[in-house]
Order: sequence, then structure tokens, then C-alpha cells
Amino acid sequence: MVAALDADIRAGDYATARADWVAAHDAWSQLGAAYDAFGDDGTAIDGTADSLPLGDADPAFTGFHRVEYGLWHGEAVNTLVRFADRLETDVAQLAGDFGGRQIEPLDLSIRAHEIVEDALRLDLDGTTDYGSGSTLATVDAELTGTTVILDLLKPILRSRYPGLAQTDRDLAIAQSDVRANAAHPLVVADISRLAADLAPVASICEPRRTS
Amino acid sequence: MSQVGRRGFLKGTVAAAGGIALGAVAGEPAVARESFHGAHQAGILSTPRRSAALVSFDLGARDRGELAGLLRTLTTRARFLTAGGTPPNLGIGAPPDDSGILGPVVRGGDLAITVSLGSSVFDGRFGLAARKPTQLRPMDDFPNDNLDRSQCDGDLLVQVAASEPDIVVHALRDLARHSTGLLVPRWRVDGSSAPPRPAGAPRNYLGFKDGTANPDASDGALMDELVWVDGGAEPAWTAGGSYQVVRVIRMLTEFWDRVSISEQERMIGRRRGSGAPFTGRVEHDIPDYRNDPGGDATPLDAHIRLANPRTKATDGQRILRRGYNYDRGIDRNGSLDMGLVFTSYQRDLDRQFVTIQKRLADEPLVDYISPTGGGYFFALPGLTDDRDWYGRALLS
Repeated sequence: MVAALDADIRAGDYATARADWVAAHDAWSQLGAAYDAFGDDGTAIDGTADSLPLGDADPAFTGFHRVEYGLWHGEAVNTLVRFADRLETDVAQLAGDFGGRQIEPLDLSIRAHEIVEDALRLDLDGTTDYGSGSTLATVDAELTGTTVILDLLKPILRSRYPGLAQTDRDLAIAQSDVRANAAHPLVVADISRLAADLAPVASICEPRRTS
Repeated sequence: MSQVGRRGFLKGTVAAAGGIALGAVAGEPAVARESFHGAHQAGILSTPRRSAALVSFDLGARDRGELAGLLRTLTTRARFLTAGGTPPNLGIGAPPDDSGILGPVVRGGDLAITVSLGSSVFDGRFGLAARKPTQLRPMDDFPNDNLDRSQCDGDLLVQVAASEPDIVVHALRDLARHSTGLLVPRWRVDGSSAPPRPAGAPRNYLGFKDGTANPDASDGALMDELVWVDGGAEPAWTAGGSYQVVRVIRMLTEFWDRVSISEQERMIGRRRGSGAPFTGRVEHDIPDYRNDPGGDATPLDAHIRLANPRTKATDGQRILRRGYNYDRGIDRNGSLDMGLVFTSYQRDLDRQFVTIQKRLADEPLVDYISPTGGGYFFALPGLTDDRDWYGRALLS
């Protein structure tokens, strides 16, 4: 998907490239890369210009949001293609790195909670929008990612978390509201409730001392 | 017990276990309120008052003469507001002299006004470049900062602190009114300091005691060592002043409130209820890191351990913290906008604050806080007597 994005930008076809961008960024968001999950690789791919000294113009601003900025601000092809190339390289690099890594089971349970915290704090307040207006699509993808992780944890949670059925219900409501393009306060309410539902998951899955 | 930093999905885990050791040290004694005149300004050593406002201004003054006039005016107003008295009656031909919000007579004795300068004052405008405190500069942008530069730095910082918010507001309005055309507000943050809950250092909005490990402000020799500039490598006029760091640090309290107490305590390095370190029983027990090189008792990346490793080599890096909690409503997403107005005073900016801040880079706590503004300032030396004025030594 990132390759198609790169090719369409190179061809100067921004209309198609914008659609490519939304599809590729959705796929990325489903991975649930919240809270620096992929470290520096993740920042290069999906970081924002927020904490960079020169903001949008900072050379360290790369990745999806830099490409988004260019696509929706009519940036010249020969400038933008450099960032699209870089994005393609960084995604390939992460795919290579990721194959060799092991995921701690406990990390997974923390992820189940923190993807929605990210959605609440970074996506729904507009911090991560650089022109595409795809915030709700991103949140939708993040809810899908959360569902995948939650399903993986269900064997542990079923007997230990009385709030699990409610969590499932709230997750479904949130996703349906997001897909229906519901009013902003309602979406914020849905995601907040979900964050509260998911907060106990990490501590429930955490091994405890019995002494 | 397994410990997981929230950052770094793929990082390993570190074992941690509580331990018990005994130690004892006196807590930070309350420091009596300073008088308006003295070697140092008021509002630095004294225990934070209940209510405060920090306002950073850009200067509208066009030359050195106007700057001196402004500083003389600020001195006169601060002297009156601090001492109290009856505002003059200007008659019916002019607007009233005083806002009246404290009643017909201004009560004194409670207010502390502290005036500091930012590095931009020492640019070309006033011919002061050669007199700049050597380390003064725009605030550094540290890793994990989310600084809005319109909410940083400034030419002149005024800190007003008192026991009640109306006294602060009264002073602020008086100072603003008398400096109209010469001072233009750049950013402002209001703060409050909580009473002990139930004892010891006041709590911040993460629910933890904040300031427990402060150096003893009643120890003059220690303050000379850690807080007051005494000339030396610095321009002579700076003697008796101090480098002041202000950092407006937002706390993501909704997220924090969804984190387990054990994870919270491991990030801070103290028990939330008592304020005691993991190796002690009570708040002022000194944390024992020497018998805990692997971080079994206190995680190596716990906030208090990184900030003050309690070694001989890091003793001289200690700073005097005088922070306030802030609470300014909600952001556009409906999230609470509250946190800490971190304020510290130190004799050597780089050796002390900057060294500590670099050590704190990427600590686990950074996921729950967001530094958004502030600045580096130089708190002027004290006003020696009733003829002295702010910045006299600098400008004459």
C-alpha cells in the first residue's frame, strides 16, 4: 500500500495518492502502535511535528503525517516524493526488525488499554490531523486493533474480568458511532467509557506476588 | 512482581520488589516570610503561599531610560502592595486609584512579588548585552517537551503570591495598570499550593507529595551553595539573585487515574499515601539506593531516583523547587487542563536544573505529563532599602 502511495505521488496523481494514503494509514492504525510501541521506527513512520523545534518544517518530521501534510497542502512532487520514499523505506525496515522481536504477553494487555488512550488524547483532539480529515477513520482502525488484542486476551479475562461483556458492548457501540460519523462529544464519550473499561485489563493480566 | 514501562512495547521487563530499611531526617522546615527589603527578593525561599500568578511580559519600553522608569514604578507599586495602606483619593476628575477589590484599605503583610528578567532583555534594545547572566537563554527544548513557543520565555516575569486569590488579583491589576504601555503580557499561568494532606509536603495533581526532598531553605550556607549567585564568573550586578526555571507541565490526569497504584508508585518512586520511599517507613526517610544497585526496591528509572540519585557527585546539582499546581479548565476535547507550574531556583543553571532534566529524559512518567511552556529567567537581587529599585545595579 505504501508502495502504491509512493508511485502515485511520483506520477503526480494526488487524487489517487490521497486515497492510497487513507488506506495505508488505516492499515497502520490497526496495528495498535500506540505509545511508542515500535520505538524510533514507529516515530519515523507515524510521528507528528508537535514536539519538534521547527514544527511542520522540521527535517525530523517524516512519515505518514509529513506525507499527509504535503498531499493536502499541494506540495511539489519532487519535494513530497522524498518523504514518500523515506516512508516506504521505514515501513520496510520495521517489517524487517519486527520479525526478529518477541512480544511480551503483558505488553499486549497494556496495548489493549493504551490504543484507546492514544485515540482520545492524540487523535480526537485533532493533534494528528495534517489535512486529510481522516481522524474518525483512524479511530475506527484503532478500535479494530483493540478488538483483535482483546480477543487474544479473552481466555485470561473471561474468568477474571466481570466487566468484559460490558467492554464488548461499549466497543461495538463506539465503533458503530464512529462509522456513523456521530457528533464529536458522543464519540469522545464512547471512547472515554471504553478507556475506563479497558484500564483494569493490564492489572488483571499482570502476574501478582502471592506473598 | 513484574514491572512494565508504558513506553516500549517491545522492551523487556524488570523485576522489582519492595524492601524495608530505616532512615531518618528532618523534613523541610517552614520558612518564615521574608521582608520586602534584604539581600534577596521575597517569594523565593519562603514556603509557597496558597495562591499565585506568574505573568511573563514583553517590554514596550523603547530605551534604557524607559526600562529604568518601568522598574522604578514596579518597585514603588510592589512596595506599597506588600506593606499595605490606604490608596490616595484622586478626586472626581480621575478614575479611582485602586481597583477596590480588597476594600478601602489594602491589607499588607501577606503578599510576595518576585521580579525576574528573561534573556531577551539583554539583546540590542537596551545596551545590556555585556551584562547578561552567562547562562541565561531561551528555555531549552528537551526530549518529550511539547512546547508552544508563544507560551515560553519573555522579557520580564512577575510572580505574585499570597494567601488568598483576591490579593493576587488585586496586585496583578495594580501592577498591570501602572505599567500600561511599557509591559505587554505574553503568557500567564495561575497556581495554587495545597495544604498538607494530611501532613508533609503539599500534593500535586498526580496525588503524590511534591517537594519532600527539597534542600533546607532555612540553612543559609546551603542556600549560598545551591541557590544564590555571588558574582564570580557572573556579572557583578547579579550577586544575590538566582537563576529561575519555570516549566508549565500538563498532567494527563484522566489517563493517570486509569493506571494501577503500583505502577504509579513505581514511576514516582514513593508510596502515594505516606510519601515514604520504598526503602523507608515515613515521608522524610532518605531513600537507600546504595544497597539497591539493581533497582529491586526502587526502580532505576523511578522519577525521584533519576532526579536525585543521592550520591556525593550529584549533591551539588540539587535545586530549590517552589512549584504550584495549576488548573485551567478543559481543552477542546473536554480533557482536564491541569498540572504543575514547576519552578526552581539554582545558582548554576547548567550544573543543576539542566543536568537533572537531561537525566529525566524518557523516564516512564513522560507518558503522563506534557511540558508546554515556561522559561529561563534571572530573579533579580534583593532590594536593599527603601530607596533601592529593581535592577538598579544592572542599569546604573
